[in-house]
Amino acid sequence: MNEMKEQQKNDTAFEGLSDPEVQEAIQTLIQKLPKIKDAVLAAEQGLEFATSVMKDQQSLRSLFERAEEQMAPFRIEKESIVALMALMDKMPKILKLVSALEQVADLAESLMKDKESQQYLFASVQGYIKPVTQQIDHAVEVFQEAKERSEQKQQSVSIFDLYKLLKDPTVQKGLRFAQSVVEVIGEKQRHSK
Amino acid sequence: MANQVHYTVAIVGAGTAGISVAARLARASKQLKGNIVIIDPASKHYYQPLWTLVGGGAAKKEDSEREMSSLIPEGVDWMQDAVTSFQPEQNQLQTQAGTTVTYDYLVVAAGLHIHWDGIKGLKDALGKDGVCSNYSYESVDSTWEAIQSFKGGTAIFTHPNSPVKCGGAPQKIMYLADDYFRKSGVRKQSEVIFASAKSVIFDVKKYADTLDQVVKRKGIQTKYKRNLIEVRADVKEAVFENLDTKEQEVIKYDLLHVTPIMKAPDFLKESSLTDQGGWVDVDPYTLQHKTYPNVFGLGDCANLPTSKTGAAIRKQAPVVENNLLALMRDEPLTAHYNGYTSCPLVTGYNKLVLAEFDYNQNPQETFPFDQSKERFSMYVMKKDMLPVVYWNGMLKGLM
Repeated sequence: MNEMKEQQKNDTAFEGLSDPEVQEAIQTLIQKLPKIKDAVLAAEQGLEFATSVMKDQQSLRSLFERAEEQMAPFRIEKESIVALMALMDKMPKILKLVSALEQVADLAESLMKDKESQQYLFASVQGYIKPVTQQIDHAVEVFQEAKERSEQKQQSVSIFDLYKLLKDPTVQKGLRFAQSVVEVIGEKQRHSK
Repeated sequence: MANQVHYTVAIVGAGTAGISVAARLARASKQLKGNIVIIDPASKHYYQPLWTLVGGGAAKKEDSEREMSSLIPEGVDWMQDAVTSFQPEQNQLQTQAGTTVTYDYLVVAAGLHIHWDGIKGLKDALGKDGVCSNYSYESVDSTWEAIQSFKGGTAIFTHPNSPVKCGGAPQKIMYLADDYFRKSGVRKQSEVIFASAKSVIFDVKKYADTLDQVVKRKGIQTKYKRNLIEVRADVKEAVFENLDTKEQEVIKYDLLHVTPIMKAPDFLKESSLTDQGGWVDVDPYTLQHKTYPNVFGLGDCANLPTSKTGAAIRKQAPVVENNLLALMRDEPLTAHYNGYTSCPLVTGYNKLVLAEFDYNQNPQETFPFDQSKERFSMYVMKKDMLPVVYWNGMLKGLM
């Protein structure tokens, strides 16, 4: 019975060996044997070195002491661990804030690079302030020209000139405004008494 | 020999939706960098919301145009080619140049098609003798020219019987024109008509109430359920169909601003990705395709029952990003889009009503004040801030 089983095993093994894929695998393994040998020898050397180091208590002590000295400034206290855990707990919220900040920063960066949008905004602002600056420029121009002319004029102002001036629409407008101011002040004063 | 390439994510369309999703995916997953492709033949990209202001002479059209190459996100490949067909069962698509692109995930963001031929006589009349339209980069200048040269008479502004990008845009240009006509002193000898295929001025009552007041204040005549079907440029006549009675009505014009018919792109219609109307058939909340789970759709080409705007895409893009990444990780799709859309309704130079609402047409306002009131601050936001936010925030996947 046992012999039969053994025979069946051998038959299966031979059948496997007749498989071309198995044959190809064996061939590849044989080709790679020199490399496999090198790898095994290297591993053996490494293992021997590790065993030797583990046995060398003096070197190990010195190594750990130096590592401890170097790590001393970064020693993690219990407080640090608690803080780290608290920080981990807040991470989802922090992530949201950082993401929002990142978006703002990216938007600002994009805008800084986008010359066309900068020019567009500049032109828009100019468009809104232009009517105001135009009015100011006009007023300054009128003032300057009037100042220059008045400085050039030497002759005295006659009563006829004054009469002509009074009929000027701009003067009339100003006088009407002055008249109204006087009226309003008068009315307010009467009410307050 | 036909070329074949494979990407983890293929995105069809480099418009607002395509670039936003690509930028978001590249930012969210480092592994996806170099594995995302955007397919689009266009060499230029346009910020179309600015065209209302360009047509009204309040902005320069050059500010709405940028080179496509400058906007493709880092870590994303751009295939400058047109998609011709889809085989979603095989996870692949074909391009005009003969390339087969296979993908693990597909995002369809192909926009919509302006059907200039949909109104008889429009194509030939456009840009001449007072016929104008804000709906293309080439024709938008014609609107400002027509408004400036208008010397009185009848000015008609139309809204077609089709979905349009930004439902409020057809009337925004009318309000600007009305303001300009008053400034130039021709408004008294003019009649301004808003001929719309819709039955109300705006779908959301809160904002419609304000706009009805604006129309009344400006003395604009509204003609609802009127669909422009023909432009007779030689006799300056616009032919409308009354959608209730089916009768035709002819109105003489001196200025005619046309909002053209818009439809789904033909190459999409012919695929199995779309519904009967030709729009990409997606779940309105997850934006995942109803038949092909590895396909997502967003933007103007999707069959979402909301107004097709850039603001809507701003809310859709994060949903597609999150759900696509969840699908990659075999996790449930938890990101939901509620139909949010926004329409900055310019009601004049320096005035704007900022409409924001969802699928149920409930206002979803951002600011802590009543946005149905006309405000200068909101006008400044649209004109000056939103373009900058668009180029540097939305297209970078940041907002």
